[in-house]
Order: sequence, then structure tokens, then C-alpha cells
Amino acid sequence: MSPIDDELRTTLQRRSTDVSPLPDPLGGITSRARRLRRRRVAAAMGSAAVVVAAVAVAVPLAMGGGTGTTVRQPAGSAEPTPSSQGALDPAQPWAERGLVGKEVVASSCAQCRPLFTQQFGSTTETFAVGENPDSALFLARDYTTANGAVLQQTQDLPKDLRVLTWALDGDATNPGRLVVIAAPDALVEYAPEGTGYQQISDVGQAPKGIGLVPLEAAAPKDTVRVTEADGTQVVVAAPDWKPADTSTPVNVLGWVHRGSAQKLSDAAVVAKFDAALPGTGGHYRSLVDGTSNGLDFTFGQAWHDGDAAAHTVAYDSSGVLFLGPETPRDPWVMAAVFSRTNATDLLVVLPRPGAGRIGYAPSATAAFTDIASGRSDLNSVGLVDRDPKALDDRVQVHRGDDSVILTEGVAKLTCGTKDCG
Amino acid sequence: MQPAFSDYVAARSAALLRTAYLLTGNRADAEDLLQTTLAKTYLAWDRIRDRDALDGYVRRTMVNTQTSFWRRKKPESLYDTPPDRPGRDAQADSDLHDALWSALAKLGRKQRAVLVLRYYEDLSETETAALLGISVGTVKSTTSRALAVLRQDSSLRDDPRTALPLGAPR
Repeated sequence: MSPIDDELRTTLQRRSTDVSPLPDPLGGITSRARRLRRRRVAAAMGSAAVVVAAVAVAVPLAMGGGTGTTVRQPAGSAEPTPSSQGALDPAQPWAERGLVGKEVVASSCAQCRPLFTQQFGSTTETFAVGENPDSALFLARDYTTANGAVLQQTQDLPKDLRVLTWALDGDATNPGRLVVIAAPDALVEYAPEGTGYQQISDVGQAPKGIGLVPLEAAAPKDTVRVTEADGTQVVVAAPDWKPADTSTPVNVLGWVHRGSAQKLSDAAVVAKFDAALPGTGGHYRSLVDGTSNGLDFTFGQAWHDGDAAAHTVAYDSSGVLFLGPETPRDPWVMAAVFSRTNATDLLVVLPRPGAGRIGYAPSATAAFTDIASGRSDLNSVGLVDRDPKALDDRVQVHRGDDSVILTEGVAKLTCGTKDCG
Repeated sequence: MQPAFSDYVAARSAALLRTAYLLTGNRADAEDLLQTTLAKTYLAWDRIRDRDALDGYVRRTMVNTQTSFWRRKKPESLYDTPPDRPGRDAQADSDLHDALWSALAKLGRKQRAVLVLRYYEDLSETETAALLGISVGTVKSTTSRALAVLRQDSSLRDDPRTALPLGAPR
């Protein structure tokens, strides 16, 4: 330990003791969280990737002469329309329907007025509407989860809404579903192919003005038709939906597992992965496992359900996970550094199956030496006792005919989520 | 607000504020950083299944949030001026620590975060790498370079207490 280490530690400790606690640490957190959430929703709504929640805005057209003429308007692209009896007014919102009195609007959303509450599986969910301090209309969806927690999602809405639609994912036992909320006196109908409407409000579990449809497959042409009491008819495209994608991300490598039997459990790796990158439905696939100088290690990929890409991760028996960036598609080589002792780190180099020999050079100018492990249990995996201070060491991968495929710096191969770019 | 979240904030906010202060260098920005960090944690609360890993998640959120703060503001404008410290006997130490504190203000955001995590939070190089999403090698090189910058600071260059041990490379 050098003198500056001690002095720096002392300086930081002394400075920190000058900091008195906040008198009310909880004050302002919920309002700040709400602002953050709205910003996120606003950003998300600008993205084509948003398919979970969509709000449809329709241009109403009074039926003329009983001909039933309607105007169809795609979601989110309508011009402002004059308000009429059926439009949603946050000051005097539509009557609450469903499980009235059992709404789960969070205390943080005291200004929310519930529109519809229902039981879905083990969840009670409430759809509510309210006005921000800047008079912008917003919609909140609150729901309890199995552990009793309350989540809240909000999104800003345009004015003069006549129908709200959501396509929501299901759970383990229930399919996804389309939820439509309109005025209580409105008739709600649904057409999976855009024609042949069937009434979905005021039937089965659906109260007046509420439409509920199970969703089990994508229906790109489906539409919702709302007929209000005065004859005003609104047709909107139902929001896009497809079954939740729990398949494996495309960048998960199909490489054969190498090394010894996996000693560190998938669950341990996933728990750390969840902590580093919160999500649900975590998976880990090991590419190589081994033991070196008493350190058990595993190196592979982890992802959550619905993720488009898996991350490179490394984990060892000290209990620390290294979260790398999204794994490139079918790379020639992967590498991870494990902190083993103060003297040397362990560099694990994993070439694509079928590659030839691999070499390592401890500096930018040093010659390469072969590092493919002679240990039969590690099958073409390179293990290097690496100088912790090495900054410009390199790895070289050869084809089977011994031509060089790739020469790359270890720092680039082992970069994390933040220092690759 | 959920009781578990409230309990966590009540138990940990004082310590988190201290870390925020060391990352930002002044009280106002530290309070703002803490509030933003806790708001983000509140939004993610139900997705954090491993409650034993909460501190790590919160620290990571704080450092990442502070990164964006640093990108918007000049470090020089952030720092509280060193407070007056009584006692002539402690004057030399106080001068050194004030100089170190001022020198810290001149470091880059990643360098400062690495030093706070390593020397205040006492995280290992591997833990720091995992928390910051950088490699262990980057933690080592960043620490080494940050300490070199501190040693070369004009107010610390000639102080024997910040010198390298005999025989160490410069």
C-alpha cells in the first residue's frame, strides 16, 4: 500500500463524515419517479418497438342517413377532433366499471380516477385516467403482483379520446388479451380480420362499454368498432400484439460446451445477472467451465425472456459476476479475465469450435506463443496467467490451415458494457 | 409507497448520500443525485428479485446517473470549498486532505468513480469492474492512471506523503 492510498482513503472518509443525513429522504421520490416514468414513456412511445400498450385515437363521424358510413383512423395519427358527449373528460370521466371499489390505484396517483378494474389471474389491475399539473391527460395502469407489490405505468394521452385500447401480454396460465375502454353506453365490437364484427362489451365478463378479447396469435388486420349512444361510430385499428417471445436470442451461440462439468449453478449466475441487469425470466448458458488454482469459473451468455440479444458473462467461485456487452453474432473468439490472485489474473480464451491454434502475446510488440491448453478437459480453450498490469496484450486465432483469422487486443475482447466504445 | 422500499431508504439513505457526495463533490448535487437514484430504484423495485443485491444495483444506478451529470457540468464548478478546520496541530494533515480533495475534482468521471468505489466503498477490483460494467483490466489501469494524476497535481507533487514507495516505477 503506497502512501497516497492511505491518504486518499482518509480524505474520502473524512469528507463523507461531514455529510449530514437528509431530514426527509423519502420526500420527493414518488413525484420524481413519476416524472422519470413519463419521460420514459414518452421516449418509448416514439419507438417502433413499443407494442405492449397502445392508445388509439379515432375521428368520430356521425352516421348520416343511417348508411353506417365510418372513418377508420390508425392508432396515434389522428388530428384533434371536436369534443362530444362520448369523449373522455378527465374532470368528469366515464363511470368506473368492473370491480368497483377494489381499484388498486397507488397512493402516489391520488389524482387518478379509475375507469375499469378487473381480476386477471392472480392480479388485480386498474386502468385510470387523470390530469397532470400542466393539464395533460394521462392514463395509469396499476396492478398488484403475486407478492402484493403495486406497479404503475403511465402514458400521456391526446385530448378528445373516445376509445382506449391495450394489447397486453398474458401470464403462465392466461393468454394475452385486448382491453378496450369506451363510454359506458357504447357498444364495443371486434373484428379479427377487419370485417365481421362481434360484440365484445356487455357479454361474459365484460361490463358495459368495456371490451375484452383473448389474444393467442398476432392479428395484424384486427379492428375495434365503438358505437356510441347517439350513433357516433368510431373504428380504430387494434394495437399490434404478438405472443411474448421467450425464445432464445439470435446471438446465443450454439457452440459445444467445453471444459469440465459446470460446478457453479445457473441459478447463481442468473441471480447475479438479474442484480446487474434487472429483468424477468433469466437464463444462463455456459460455454466453458473449469478450475484454476482453486478458482472455479464459468464463462458463457445470459439473457432475460424477450431480450433481443444475450450478454457475455463470466462468473467465478468468489461470487462476482462480470457483465460484458451483448455478444457479437458468431464471433471467432471470446475471452474473459478472472481476478485470481494479486500476482496474476486468469485469462480464458475461447475460440469458435473448429478454429485452429490460438496464440497470446503479452504486449503489442511481443511474439505470439501458442496457448491452447494441453488439458484434455478444456478442449482448445486457452488459459493464460496474465499480468494484471498488461494493457496491450493480444490474442491471435488461426484457421485449421494455420492462416491467421484474427488478431485482437485482450482489452477489446474482455471489455465490459461501458468500455467497448 | 411500498413499506419495503421505505424501509430500505430509511436504512440506507444516509450512507448513500455520503457516496453521492464523494461522487459529486457538493451537497446540492449529492442530494439531487440521491433522489434521482432512489426514484429510479423505486421504478425498478419489483424487478429486483435479489434484495441482497440491492446495494450493488443502487450504487450502479448512482454512478451511471452521475456519469450523465458529469457530461453536462464542468467538474470545477461542482466542488464545495474545503471547510475551515480548527486545531493548529492538524493543520498539515488538513492541508494535505484539502489538496487531495481539490485534486480529485480534476479527475475524469470514470477515474473518480473508480477511486470512490475502491477506496471509500472498499470494493475489490473485480467488484468495481462488475458494478461499472467495465473490465478488471480497465479498473486496474484507470486506478493507476488516476493515482498518477493525483501525484502529479501541483499541490501534491512535492508532498512526501503522496509519493510512490521507493523503487516503484514512475
